[in-house]
Amino acid sequence: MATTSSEVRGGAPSYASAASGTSTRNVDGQAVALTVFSTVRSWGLLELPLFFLVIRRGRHSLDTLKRLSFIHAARWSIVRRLPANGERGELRLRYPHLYFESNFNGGWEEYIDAFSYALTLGMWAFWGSSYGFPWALPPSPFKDYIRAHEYEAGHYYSAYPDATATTVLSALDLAPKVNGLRQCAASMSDEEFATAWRDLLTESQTCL
Amino acid sequence: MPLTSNTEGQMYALTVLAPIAPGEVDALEQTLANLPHDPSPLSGLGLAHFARWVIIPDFGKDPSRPQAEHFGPYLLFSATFDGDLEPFLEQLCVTVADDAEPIWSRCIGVPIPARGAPLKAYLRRNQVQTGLFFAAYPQATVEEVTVALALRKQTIDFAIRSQGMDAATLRQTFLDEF
Amino acid sequence: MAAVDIDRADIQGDILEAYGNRYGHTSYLFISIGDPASGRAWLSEQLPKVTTAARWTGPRPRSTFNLAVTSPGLGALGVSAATIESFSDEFQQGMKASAADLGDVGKSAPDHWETGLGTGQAHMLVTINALDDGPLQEALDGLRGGLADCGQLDVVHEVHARMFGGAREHFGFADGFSQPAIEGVSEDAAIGEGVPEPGGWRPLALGEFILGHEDEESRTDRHRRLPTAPNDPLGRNGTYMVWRKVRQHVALFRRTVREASRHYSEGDAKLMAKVVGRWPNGAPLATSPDVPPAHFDPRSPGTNAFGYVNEDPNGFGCPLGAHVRRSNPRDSLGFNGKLAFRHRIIRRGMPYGPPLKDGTVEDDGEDRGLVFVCFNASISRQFESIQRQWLNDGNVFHLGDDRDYLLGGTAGKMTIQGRPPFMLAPQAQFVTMRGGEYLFVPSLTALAAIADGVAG
Repeated sequence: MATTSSEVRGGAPSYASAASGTSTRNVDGQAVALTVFSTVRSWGLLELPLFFLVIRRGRHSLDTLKRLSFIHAARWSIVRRLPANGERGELRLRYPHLYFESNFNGGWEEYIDAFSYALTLGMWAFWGSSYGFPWALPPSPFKDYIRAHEYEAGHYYSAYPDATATTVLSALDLAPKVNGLRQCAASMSDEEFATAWRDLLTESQTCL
Repeated sequence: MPLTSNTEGQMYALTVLAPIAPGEVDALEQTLANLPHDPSPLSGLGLAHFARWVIIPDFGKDPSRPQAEHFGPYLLFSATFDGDLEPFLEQLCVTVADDAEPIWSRCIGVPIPARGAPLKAYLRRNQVQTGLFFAAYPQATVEEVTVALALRKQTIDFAIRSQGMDAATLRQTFLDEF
Repeated sequence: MAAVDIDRADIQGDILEAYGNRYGHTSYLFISIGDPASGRAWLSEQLPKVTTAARWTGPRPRSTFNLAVTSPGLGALGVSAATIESFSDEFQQGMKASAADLGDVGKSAPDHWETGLGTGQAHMLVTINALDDGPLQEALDGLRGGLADCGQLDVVHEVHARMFGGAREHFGFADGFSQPAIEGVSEDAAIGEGVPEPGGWRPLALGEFILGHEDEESRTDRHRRLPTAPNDPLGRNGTYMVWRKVRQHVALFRRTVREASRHYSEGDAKLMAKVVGRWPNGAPLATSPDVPPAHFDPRSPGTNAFGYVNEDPNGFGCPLGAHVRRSNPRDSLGFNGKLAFRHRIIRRGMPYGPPLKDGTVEDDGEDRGLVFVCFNASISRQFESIQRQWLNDGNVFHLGDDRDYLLGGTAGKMTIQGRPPFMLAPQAQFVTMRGGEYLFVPSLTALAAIADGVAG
């Protein structure tokens, strides 16, 4: 009954991650790390926290980010001071610094392009107050800017490196449906189950 | 009106910036480069979805603002994990302490040994509060994700094999395998 | 939109024209150059023969002649290292260096490539398209004679490709008719083949395919800077070329689909069409989901004027992971096509080797396949990105790590969307890479400059 072809010529080719355009130190399987610091003008110290607050409050404000479904997690943080450690006293920074990190899938070039084209205004909201920020379009100067402010990871870890964000979302969507069927299967007739299975496949095909 | 928030759903975004002791940058770079992958020592952090160590050779030095002040080498540690900070710090400072100690120990002001409660305090003191945190699946734990991924694989495999099965075989096989 | 000024007489013809459609014979000969002076002397002699993109005023020539050069080839012709460095990184490193990225691993790895390919010996590529055997032989004899006369030049690899039965490739599908709509060249094809803007589809900027002209990025640039190109005079009106010899395992493909279709209610012919995304006669599944239209001419205008978002969003016609949908997603990636529009390629190419008799499912030991050729202003942004992100992976289509089933490999299955969906198990590779090169197609001006030794 199996539809697997029994012929595998030359052995299975090694599976290549779609991650590209960045140092291998930034890659764990399908997961890619991006780490960026920039220096923020004084007015950014007012704009950024307010912008963050507005986004946190607005339920749909990160929808575009969600639709660009290749991001597992990302964050923006402002560094204003460096605390005392050992003999080093506390340092209050003259200019705040903006930290950005992302955990995403796919090619670096394609990722930054997507931000350029699909989140043009959003990019200004995040980096408009940073020194040296060119507009998000055209893409090349923006990519140069990110590259100049990016730091290569020393060590990067993902708990599930084989899975992309979209696969995780698909799996999370699918799980309750399969589990639901597991609970009923024993008490269904064969015909009922066959219909239920067929319905599950049809409903969840984009998750499979 | 909180201007920062480290959490989204049940996930927590931890960022730590710790100064690196003078002369230790190269050794630290080597240590990090030599950490194995698959498994990484950080795989002992059962709560962590993602984690990274990044050396910032000269924090504050910015090609877009060359005259700005700069503060020497810093070690960035960032993690995206499930639940509250304390249980995660327990994993970071106790469970994986053996592998992490050679890394933390190169930072200025770090407790000796760099593990346990004193390390937790050090990391908390050097924590950078998160301004905005985006997570694609903020309610899902690492366990839920890995279980769901395995179930999806199993479902796909069954879906392919079961094509053409009669109803009785289909239900029986499903009951056997799931 | 700005009027585009194209000096067609300066651009080599095969970039903007699909000679393969009318010229049923295509021969590709890779030449190795022993010393720069001989190479340049030979090149000088070829210049009058080169077919340009200028429109023909009389009957079409019996054969066409075009030239391309590899990075080692530039060196072999005496172009300076400094000038060579102005070419793109991936071109300088050669296709072999990108093998892992492109999925050329295992049996497709460069170690197994045919002689002369990927070794640095291939310096120039001569492409001859001929209407018939007679003109082909004439052109080949002329070429070989000229090489012999010059001395110091050898043919290191050659492939003689030939169209058979209705512009089909070996898996049985009419191929080559879907091409990007380009400003100043093919604007009437904009719907479906251009950029899906809110106001309607528009053609792509010429600079996405020919250097020295504004590309899509230039449009968003206040200063309207032109894309990176090799130093003048070499860059302008030239383009990069990708050449790949891909062996097709036709019997295996037929057998695999036939066996898989035992549980597919609509039969193996339809299943095969679902894998490709078109019917064998070229009709798109997106517009003809149930049966192939009886009389379909892929050449008629409008046959490629479709998108997926309105016509077939769920993939019930053309599956989400079908080959044609992956290699040209049109409007299906959202954001008004902005995730796709910088990754388009002009495709040429020809099948090689004798066709496997219809219905035969046992291999006959013959070497057959496709010489894949494409043109683009940036190999990494266009060709390589398609290969990496659209063909060898499925994430951008929300298909996890499913790869293009037609090209294959044992990672990932293929879902045929439907009620219920049908799934094809991971399978053996249906194609094997036999070798390839990254090349540059210089303008007529650039060719003359190289021949004169004044290219820099």
